[in-house]
Amino acid sequence: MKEMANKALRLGLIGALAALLLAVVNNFTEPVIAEFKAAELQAALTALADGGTPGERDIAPADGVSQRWPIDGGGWILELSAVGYGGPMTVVASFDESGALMVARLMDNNETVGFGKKAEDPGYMEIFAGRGAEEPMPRSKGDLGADADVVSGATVTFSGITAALERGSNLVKEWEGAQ
Amino acid sequence: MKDIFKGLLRENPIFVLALGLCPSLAVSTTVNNALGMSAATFLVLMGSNIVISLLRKQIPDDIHIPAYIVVIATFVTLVDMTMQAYFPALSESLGIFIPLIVVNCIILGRAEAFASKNSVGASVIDAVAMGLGFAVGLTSIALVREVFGAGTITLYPDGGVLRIPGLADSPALVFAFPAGALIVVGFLQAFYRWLGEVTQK
Repeated sequence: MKEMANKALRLGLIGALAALLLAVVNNFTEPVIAEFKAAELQAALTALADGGTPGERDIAPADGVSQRWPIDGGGWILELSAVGYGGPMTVVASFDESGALMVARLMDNNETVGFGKKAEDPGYMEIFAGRGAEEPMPRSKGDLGADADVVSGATVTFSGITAALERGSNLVKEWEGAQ
Repeated sequence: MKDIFKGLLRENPIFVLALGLCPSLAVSTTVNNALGMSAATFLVLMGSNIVISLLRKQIPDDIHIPAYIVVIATFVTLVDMTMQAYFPALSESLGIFIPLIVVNCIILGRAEAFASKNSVGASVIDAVAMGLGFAVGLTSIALVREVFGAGTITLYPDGGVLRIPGLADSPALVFAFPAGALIVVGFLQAFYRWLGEVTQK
């Protein structure tokens, strides 16, 4: 019994010292991390707003949309969930009042390097830009014309992104119609 | 001095001891990831070797595994938090593999096999040797994979990327995939063992 208590005490002591050390370091790193995350988010939002100013954030305004921000000059920024070849992906996209896509970025994803990962390139999303209002979002490679090469070899990634963007565009039209 | 170089060839953790293969396959897609991972592993290995060697007489045998894991996890969390705060780009590209250093066999293996039986000084040398061996191993895997798989050498993201003419436009993608990583590890293992034998003579 005494031996048991001795072991428990030693292990507890090691754990307590570890916790103390971590708490001290966390105290220093936490504000730096929070500041960096906020700056990163702000930079992403400013790029997405395309000249406008992003406003107050709404959490989970609709299914498949985890966050949304209104843009001062009109339109919305949405964080959309999508499904790719490697599982769930996050796409952030801005739409104008008519539901046409302004800017989009692929954020968290697990796509294959050299194939689906190419969707992270800034140029990739340009095949969707301006679509969603008069011109519909592409449903298949055939709708892309000369741009079809860009998505070749990564059809699942493309389908996931285009489905998410189409859902976002429709939601924006719905919200704008309701106002 | 001889002890420091044991990690390079005779007891190279990746190629001879075959420890830590999981992160070696996963983060060896670019050279800068490999260097970042090596540095993180080295810091954890150094910290855990020192502390475990210091506490080796205080930790009863029955509870040595939980005690070591607590010590290792503490150092990993420290490295993880520091990296997130001061090297955010690196932390993002290494992602889950930083927290997973906790279960990297190199760290626990050296704690068990070396630091728990030797003095602090010897444990520090062991950490340097093994950290160096891991860094050289991981970086050589990454170098081969990145040169053939992407046609680039990334020293630091944003500006530090060397493009290799000819290969950058039509890389052999298989090297970028896990299967390619295994093939590279196999060939490098043969190479390192051969080098070990040649230098021994």
